[in-house]
Amino acid sequence: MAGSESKEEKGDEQKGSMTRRGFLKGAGLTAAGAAIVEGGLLGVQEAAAAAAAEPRVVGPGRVPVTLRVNGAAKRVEVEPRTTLAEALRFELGLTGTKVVCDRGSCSACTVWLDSTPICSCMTLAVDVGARAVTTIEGLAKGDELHPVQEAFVEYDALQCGFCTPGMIMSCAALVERKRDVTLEDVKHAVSGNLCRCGTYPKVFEATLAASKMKKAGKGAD
Amino acid sequence: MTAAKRDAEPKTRMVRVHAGIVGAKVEEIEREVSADEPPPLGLNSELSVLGKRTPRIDGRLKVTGAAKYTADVRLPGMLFASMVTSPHPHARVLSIDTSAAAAHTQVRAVHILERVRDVAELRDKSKELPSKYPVVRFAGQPIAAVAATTQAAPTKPRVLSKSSTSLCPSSLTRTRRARQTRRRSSPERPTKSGTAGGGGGPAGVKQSGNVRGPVRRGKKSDDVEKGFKDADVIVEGEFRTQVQTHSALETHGVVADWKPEGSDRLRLDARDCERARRDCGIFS
Repeated sequence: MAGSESKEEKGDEQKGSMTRRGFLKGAGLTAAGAAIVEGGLLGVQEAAAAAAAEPRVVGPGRVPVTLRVNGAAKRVEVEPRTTLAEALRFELGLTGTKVVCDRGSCSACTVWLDSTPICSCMTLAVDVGARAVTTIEGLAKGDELHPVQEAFVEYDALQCGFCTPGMIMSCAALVERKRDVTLEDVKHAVSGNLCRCGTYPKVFEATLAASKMKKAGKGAD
Repeated sequence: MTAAKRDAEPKTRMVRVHAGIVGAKVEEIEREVSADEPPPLGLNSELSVLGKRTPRIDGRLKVTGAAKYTADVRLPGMLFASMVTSPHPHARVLSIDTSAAAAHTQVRAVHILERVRDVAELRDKSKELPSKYPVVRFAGQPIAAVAATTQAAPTKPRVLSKSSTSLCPSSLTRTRRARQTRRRSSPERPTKSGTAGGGGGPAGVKQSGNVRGPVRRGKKSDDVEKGFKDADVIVEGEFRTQVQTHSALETHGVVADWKPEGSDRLRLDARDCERARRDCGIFS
């Protein structure tokens, strides 16, 4: 998925009320913790520090979490194992984010953490911290669609529409990040987004058009 | 109108119509049509709807996340059902202990399946293994279902983990020889009736071990040898692939809204109407 290329920003652990370090302390660096370290989400030194420090236990009952979603602070109570996708869909009613595989294989659940596309089914809600969550519902500015949304309609880059929110979040992140988007860029950006209707050629066309649209200053910035 | 007069009227008439491929060559030709044929369509350029670009009617809904799919529907007091499935490809379920599920605060009901729909059935049912519950014939076969107030609840404690099973022989290798020489996963040739698993094949098709067929399709007059002889180029190869099943991204599901007054509403997913129709049958 597109998010797998992204590296977590340094210093994130200071920003959140519930941090990765805190989570790992709670997890006590179990096998799952070690896998996270191997996966590159956490530096080895940081992991060692987390293991040495006093563990902070969260749960197993519901814990209050404040999520910054689409510009608004939302307080929810979730079990620690609740994923961001579940919190968005069940607690906040933001059902635009779709859950298909629920294991980071299809990217249908892609949302942004700050400006980075991530699989919300692979992110714990308690682990989001103060980072800004942007979902498909928060991409347009009022009635004004994001250029990628506009281009998806214009170029008919969707059929059943179930992969579309995740697909758009991946493509929009690319268009936001890069000024001159190439076909290879788009292919890379959606390399983890599965579409079984076969809309990829139109997704490529739409995203390239959106990039041009944005460059020309049309649509939302 | 008398019969004689009707016979006198012409049954066909000649009309001039546009024919060909738009963008390549379109010409006006004369064609014989039945007398009651409606007038021909004009060229696309003269029509107001046909041949014109039109935006997808639900495009905006889908790109903004506003489109509501069945999985997005939430009703007051709604319960989530999930299946308890077999991790074993071939087994007999000896006992099922539902006490952990019944004690779970979020679980409202447990249902144990007395029969499994759409799975393969033995051609001679008298040869079925003695079993209180349906014999498991594929990994993932549904055994029970749990209804709970949250979607995640049933998976938290393995609600039926105390259930005991007796494993039976199975063959998971894919070479023809291995499948033929190993024991079948059922005591009798099964007939595949629906889309679920369990092996077998259509009624009447030869089965040997776990291998079915061959099945001859097409007309008897088709001569493969002659086809090869007439071919300019012959490409030979052996190709293998996993079974490709219908796998739309939209997860299958049904939301049922039972009303005390009887006007129940079912909301189906949009991906497989035939399956949805069959699913509805279980509510009747």
